[in-house]
Amino acid sequence: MRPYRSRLHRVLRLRSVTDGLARLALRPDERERIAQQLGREPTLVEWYAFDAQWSEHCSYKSSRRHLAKLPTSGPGVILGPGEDSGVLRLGRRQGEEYAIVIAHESHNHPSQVVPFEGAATGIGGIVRDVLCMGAEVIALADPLRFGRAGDPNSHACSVARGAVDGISAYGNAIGVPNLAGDVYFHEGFDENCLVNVVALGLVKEPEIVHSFVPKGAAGWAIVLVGKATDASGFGGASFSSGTLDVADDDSNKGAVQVPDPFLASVLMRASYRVFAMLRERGLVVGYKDLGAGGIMGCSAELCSSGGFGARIELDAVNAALPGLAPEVLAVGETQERLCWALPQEIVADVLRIYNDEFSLPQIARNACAVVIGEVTAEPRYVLYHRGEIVMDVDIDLLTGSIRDDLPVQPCVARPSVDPAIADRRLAAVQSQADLAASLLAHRDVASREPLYRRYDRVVRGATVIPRGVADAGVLAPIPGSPLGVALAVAGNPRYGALDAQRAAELAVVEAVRRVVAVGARPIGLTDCLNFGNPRQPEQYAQFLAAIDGLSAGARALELAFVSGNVSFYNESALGRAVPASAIVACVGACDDLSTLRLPNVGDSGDRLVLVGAHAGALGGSVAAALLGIDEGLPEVDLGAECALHAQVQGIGSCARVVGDGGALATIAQMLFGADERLGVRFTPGLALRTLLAESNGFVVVQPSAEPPAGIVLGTVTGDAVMQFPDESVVAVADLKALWSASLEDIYP
Amino acid sequence: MKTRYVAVRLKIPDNQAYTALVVLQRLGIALGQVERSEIYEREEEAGGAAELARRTMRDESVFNPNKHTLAVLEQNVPRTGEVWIEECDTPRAPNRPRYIGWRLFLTDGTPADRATIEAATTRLLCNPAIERAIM
Repeated sequence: MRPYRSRLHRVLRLRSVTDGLARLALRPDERERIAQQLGREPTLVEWYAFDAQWSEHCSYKSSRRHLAKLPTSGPGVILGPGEDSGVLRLGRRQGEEYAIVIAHESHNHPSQVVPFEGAATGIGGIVRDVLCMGAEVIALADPLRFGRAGDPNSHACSVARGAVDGISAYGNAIGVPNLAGDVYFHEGFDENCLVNVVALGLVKEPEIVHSFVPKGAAGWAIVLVGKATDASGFGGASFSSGTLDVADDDSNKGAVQVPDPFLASVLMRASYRVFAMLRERGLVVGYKDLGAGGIMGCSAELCSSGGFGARIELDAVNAALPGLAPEVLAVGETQERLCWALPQEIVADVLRIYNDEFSLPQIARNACAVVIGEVTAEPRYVLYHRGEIVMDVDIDLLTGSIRDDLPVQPCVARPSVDPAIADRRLAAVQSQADLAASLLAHRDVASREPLYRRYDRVVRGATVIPRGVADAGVLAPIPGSPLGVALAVAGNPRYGALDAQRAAELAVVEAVRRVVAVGARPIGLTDCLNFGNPRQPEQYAQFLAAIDGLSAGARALELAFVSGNVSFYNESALGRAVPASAIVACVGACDDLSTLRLPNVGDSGDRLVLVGAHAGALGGSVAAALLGIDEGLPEVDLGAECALHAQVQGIGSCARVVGDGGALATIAQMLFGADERLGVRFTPGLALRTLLAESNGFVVVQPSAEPPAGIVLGTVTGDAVMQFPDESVVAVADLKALWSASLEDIYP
Repeated sequence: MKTRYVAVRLKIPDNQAYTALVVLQRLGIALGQVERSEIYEREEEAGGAAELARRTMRDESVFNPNKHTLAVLEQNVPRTGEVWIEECDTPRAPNRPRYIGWRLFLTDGTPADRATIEAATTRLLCNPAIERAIM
C-alpha cells in the first residue's frame, strides 16, 4: 500500500513551495471574497477556519439548495434536518412521549486511508451526533461498500477487513448494539470505499437538547469536554504544521483520526448524568459534537445557530502537547470531544460531573471538561491565543454564507436494450439449480454473518430481532414497554451504476419495505448521498438525479428525511467516481412487539406467494451480472406502494422482501432458517425471470387453503430440496453451505 | 534463508501503550514512556534487511504506511528496555505477530533497567497462565 495521497494533496504540496497558504482548499475566488468581506488580509488562523467552514463537508455549498427538494416534515417528525440529528415520534408510554433520534453520516475517505481507525471514528462521530441531542444511544447500523476483495492480499480486502474490525472495536466497546447494515462488493469502490454509519437514540420529547444556544444566552460559558486536542485529524489545513510537512509519513497524519472508544463510553455516561441534572433543574442549554472544523467549527455553529457570537480562549483548551499552533487548536479534529453552552451557574457542577465523578482526566491523557470561552451578544467569532486576537470575523460569514451554483450536465439516458437478448440468455440456462448455486454464492447475496458476527448485536439486552435474522433489526428500547423500533438500510450500487435516480427511488422503496416486512410502521428516513466530484457536471447531475429519486420515493410513501449527509469527491486519482450511491435508512415504530413478524417459511404444503408488481426487469440484478444481461432497472409503481404495504401487513404470516438475488434467493434464505427440514417445489412453468428479478415486492407465506394474494411461486415441501421449474434439483443444505461460505475468505 | 524479527509500531497515538503507562505508574513503577510493537517473524531472502523491510511494508495485513513504522531488528532478541510477550499454545501464522514487544523508558528518557522491566512484566504486562515473557 502506498501512503495516501489525494489529488488535492499532491497539487497543494507542489504549490506550497511558492505559497505558504497554498495548502488551503479554498478556491481563489473564495479567498478573494473572504478578504473583501473582512476588509483586510485574513490571519493564518482565519484562513484555516474559513478553509474548514467553507469546505463542502461543513457548508454543503454545492448541495444545500438541492437538498431542499426532499420532504422533511410530517406528522411523525419532531425535528427535521438542521441540527446534529433528526428526531422522530416513536410513541407514548405511561403518559410520556418518546422519540427516536437518528443520524446518518459517512466516513469514506478516512476509512480508505486507515480502515480500522477511519471506520471506528465514524462510529464515534455518529454516536456523538445522537448523544448531543440529549438521547441515550441505543443502536448502530453500517451500510458498507467495498471494492473487489477477491484477493486476500489486495488493498480492497484490507480495507474491507479493517473497516469492519474498526466498527466492531468501537461499537462493541461502547456497548451499543449493531442493529442493521448491509455490504456490497463492487469494482467501483476499489479505490474509494464507502463507510456509512447510522445511530439511533432514545429521548423523551420534552428532554431533547438542541445543537444551538438558546435565547438569552449571552454571557454563557462555552465548555469543551473530552479528549485533549492534538494535531490528529487536522485535515488539509494540517499541512502547514511544521511537524507534518517534512516527510511523506508525517504528512498523512492529518488524514488519520485516532479512536478511543473507552473514553467515548465514559463521555456518554457522564453526559447522561448531565442530562439528568438539566432535567432536574429544568434548564435548556446547547450541546454539540465536535466534527469537521474542530473547536472553531463546533462553537461557531453552536452560537451562530442561536443568533449569537462567541469568544474563545485557545490557551484554555486542554491540549495533548505543549506549543500547538493556534490554527491546530482551533481547527484540529481530535475525536471524542463535545461542546456545551451553559449558564454560568451550573458550570461548576458540570465540570465536577465530568472531571471528578467520571474522572475524565484519569481515563485519557489530559482529557477533561474545561471552560474555553463564552457566548457573546455581538455576532462575531473571536479567538484569543496568548493574549492576542488571532481571529475576529462575522460569525455568519464564517458559518452560513457560502453557496456554489455549479453547472449541470443532464444524465445521459441509457440506450434501450432489446429484451429478447435477455430472454435468449435466460433460455440458455442449462440448469436452474446450478444457477441458484452461483446466485447464492455471489458476494452480494451470500450470508453476511461472517461480517456481522464481529458485532455485538444484543448488548443492552433490548434487541428483539437481531441483525441478520430478518429484513430489519428491532429493539425494545423502553424497558417494560411494548413499543419497538425497527431499523433497515438500503442502496444498491449495481443500480446506482446504471441509473442514479431510479437507484435512489429503489433505495427508499427497499428500506421501507424491509421495515414493513417485520411488521413495523415506517416513521421516517435518513439518507447519505455518496457521489463523485460535484465540479464534474456529469457527476453532479447524478447527485441531482438521486435527490429527485429520493424525493419521489419519500413523497409517495408519505415519509420525511429527518437527517442526512452528503459525501462528494469519492473518486479515484484517475477521476473515476464511485457508482451513484444514495443510501437510505428507514426507522419503523411498533406499538406492540407481540405483533412483529419473524421470518419463517411456513410448513409443508404452504404456498410461497409473490406479492407486488412483477415486471420482471433484470437490470442491475445479480442474475444479470452472472448471465451477462443488460437491461434497464426495474420500475416501481410508487403510487401502489402504500397499498402493497397494507396488503402485506394484512397477510398475517411471514413476509420477506425480494432483494439481491430475487425471489429465488429470498426463498432459499427462508428455507435456510428451517433447519434443513423443508424444501420448495417451484410452480411448473414459472418464468425464470420472475424468480430472478429483484424489485418484485415481497414473498409471503400463505396456507394452501387461502386464495393466493399474488403469483404462486411454489409450495413448501418436507424433503429439504429445491425443485426448479426446469426439474433440476438441489439440496437446501448444499445451497446453504455455499451461501454461508462466500464471505469467509474476507472475514475468516 | 535467515530468520529475522520485524517490529511494527503505531506512529499515531497508541491508546494501549498509554493505558499501560498510566497503570504501571499507578502501580508505583516510575516510567516516562511505554512503546508497544508487534514483532513478526520473517525469513530474510536475497536483498537483506532492506528487502525484507520492503516486502513486509507491502503486506497490508501487517503494515499501513499511514499509521505504522517498521524496523528490522538487528538481533532476534528484545531491545534494550524491552520485554517480548508470547501467547502460549497459539498457532503461529504469518500475519499474526509472534510477540508483543513492550519497550519501557524511565522518566529521564533512558531505557528501563532489567529490574524495572521485571516488575512491569510481573505486575501487568504478562499473564503467566497464558503467556510467557522474554527479556
